Amino acid sequence: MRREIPMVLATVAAIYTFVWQVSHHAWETRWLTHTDLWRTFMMQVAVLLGALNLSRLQISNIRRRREHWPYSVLCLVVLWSYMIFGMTAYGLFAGRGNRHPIYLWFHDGVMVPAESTMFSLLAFFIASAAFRAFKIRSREATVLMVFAFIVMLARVPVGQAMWARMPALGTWVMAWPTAAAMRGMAIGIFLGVFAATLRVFLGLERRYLGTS
Amino acid sequence: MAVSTNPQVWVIALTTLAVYSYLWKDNWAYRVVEHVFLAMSVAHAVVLTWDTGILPRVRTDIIGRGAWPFVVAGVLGLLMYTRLASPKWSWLSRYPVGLAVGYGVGFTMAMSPRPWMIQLRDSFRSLWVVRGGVFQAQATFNQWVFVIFLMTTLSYFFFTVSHQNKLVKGSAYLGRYAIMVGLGAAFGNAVIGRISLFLGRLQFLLMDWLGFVI
Repeated sequence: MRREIPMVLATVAAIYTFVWQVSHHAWETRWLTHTDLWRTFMMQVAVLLGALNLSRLQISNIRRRREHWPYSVLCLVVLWSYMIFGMTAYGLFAGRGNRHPIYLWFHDGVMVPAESTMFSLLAFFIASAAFRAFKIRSREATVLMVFAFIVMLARVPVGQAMWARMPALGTWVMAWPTAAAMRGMAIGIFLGVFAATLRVFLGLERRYLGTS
Repeated sequence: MAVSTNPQVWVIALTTLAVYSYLWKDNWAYRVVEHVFLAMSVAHAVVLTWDTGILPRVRTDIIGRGAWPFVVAGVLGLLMYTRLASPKWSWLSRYPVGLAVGYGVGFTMAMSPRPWMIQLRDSFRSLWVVRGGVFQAQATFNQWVFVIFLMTTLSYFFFTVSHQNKLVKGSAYLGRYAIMVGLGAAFGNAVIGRISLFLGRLQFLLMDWLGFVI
């Protein structure tokens, strides 16, 4: 009862969505649009789950006095104050909190630059990983690095200054050998994803229902 | 050089420097920004969903049109919280999870084969390109490169025939290099993307914050 009904629901939902997606009658498409909106609303209502889960984790850090626990206090304070302010800036049911000037000030002043800087930080770690890969001196690592350098040089002015046809070479590498190798990998990935989907559909895969 | 007097620019600059301080070593400034960023990202997702998803739906559909299926969907969504509330009731969260997974499965089974079939069909290429009665050497070479790289990559992941077989073994060996070419190019692209982000941050620090004119 506790596992069987959700499994039946999953199978019925899968058959319903499959049939409605592959048929193209107007009334079926309309129904699918409706059910799609219901499903989206169902998931939206559960959005607070992420915030609650994060809070639970941080509270556990604080209670157990784990290393760096004061940062958990900071995380909790920022999470709930920013969220409550955003939701109530113009009143709880106004629905315009995300456009409040103070909300946007912090969004543009902290979140956007922090995100961009964190991603740019990866450039340094990627470079260090490349250096380590190059140190291995295997033929595969050399091929990887050579093609990485070709693509990188093709995208910057210095590449063109070194050799006028470098951008064309970079474009060719991306359009032919890379596209072919990536397609080969993508076909394998697709087959894997489809097999996993089929396992869920046939009820062979039940881990999404959790344990016990 | 005119250093900015805008407090927001200073906050952005200090945030940027705090993140980059991690390159030196793990430190309190980085951890502060890391935790603030994590908290704000989650809060922002909730606020956006509340403002642009839940409230309009409640106003327009539930209150405005009396569309009761949204109430059912909302109750199902609320069942997800039983997962956190109590282990005794957490099994109730399987109902919305089952529905969402089923929907995803049906959608994937119906929609995902098409783009891949198109790609598969496109992979069967002419290996002797003639346009307007003229043989195209460059285009023929490109097609050969494409087909060889694709087939050798596929053979690397092909285990139906034993890799002891000379043909499969040789093809898989070449396939390893083909994969390295693909991954190398993807790696180069990723590095260039990250470096352009880094240049953007550097430009902000030097020009917008410190006021250098470059």
